[in-house]
Amino acid sequence: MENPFKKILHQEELPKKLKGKIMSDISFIKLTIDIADLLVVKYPETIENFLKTKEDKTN
Amino acid sequence: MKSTVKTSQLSDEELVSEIIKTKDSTLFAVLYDRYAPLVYNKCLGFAKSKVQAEDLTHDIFIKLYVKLNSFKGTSKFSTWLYSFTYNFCVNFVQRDSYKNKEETNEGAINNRASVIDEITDNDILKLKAEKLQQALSIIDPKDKMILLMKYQDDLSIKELQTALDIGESAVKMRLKRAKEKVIETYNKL
Repeated sequence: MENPFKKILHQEELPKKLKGKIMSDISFIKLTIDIADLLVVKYPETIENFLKTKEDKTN
Repeated sequence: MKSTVKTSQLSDEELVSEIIKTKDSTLFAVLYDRYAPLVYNKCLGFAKSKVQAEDLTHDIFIKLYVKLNSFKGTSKFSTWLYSFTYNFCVNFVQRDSYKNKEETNEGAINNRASVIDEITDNDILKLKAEKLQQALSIIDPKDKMILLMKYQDDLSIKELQTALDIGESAVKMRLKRAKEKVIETYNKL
């Protein structure tokens, strides 16, 4: 018996332009995450290490 | 060139863990190429137009990129992606019409309970595709989701359990209710 659920599955071709749009949005999100990481995590870490004296580091 | 050969050979699960580690968008493009046609055609089943389906596909892949780390590898990636896609589509459909449907469905459940006996898979497979499509567009999208997962994507009860994150008896109960609803709506058409 043929499964009617398989028959109603669409077989349309995906528009090619969609990929470009999605990938550019993804790149933008990645850039935002990277900048946030840089400002919120990496910079403070660097400054913290920079200001630490030798004694602080050994403790 | 070497890296493209390598990425195309990676399994879905390996690819996903690489993307989570590196957040690399070119790797994500490989994942997109593998699954975008499938996701788009699933969206067409829920959307009212092609443009709406494109928007849905777009939003799903953006959300997928952000939420990819919630994939823990407890099921196959394709199974997880099915449920991710369906949940997104169901939320989309329900956004406008949830309240109205809930009110009408409650009455229907009470009237129906005693009338319909156990529905077998054969009863479901005998249905005509066109009328079935109409019936599926009328019933609650959550019921539509579980029926499509079971009969269109051929997921087993066990896979449904992990995909929906509910127990075995809950899956069977939801499936039973969904079948009852679709048959009832189908017969009214």
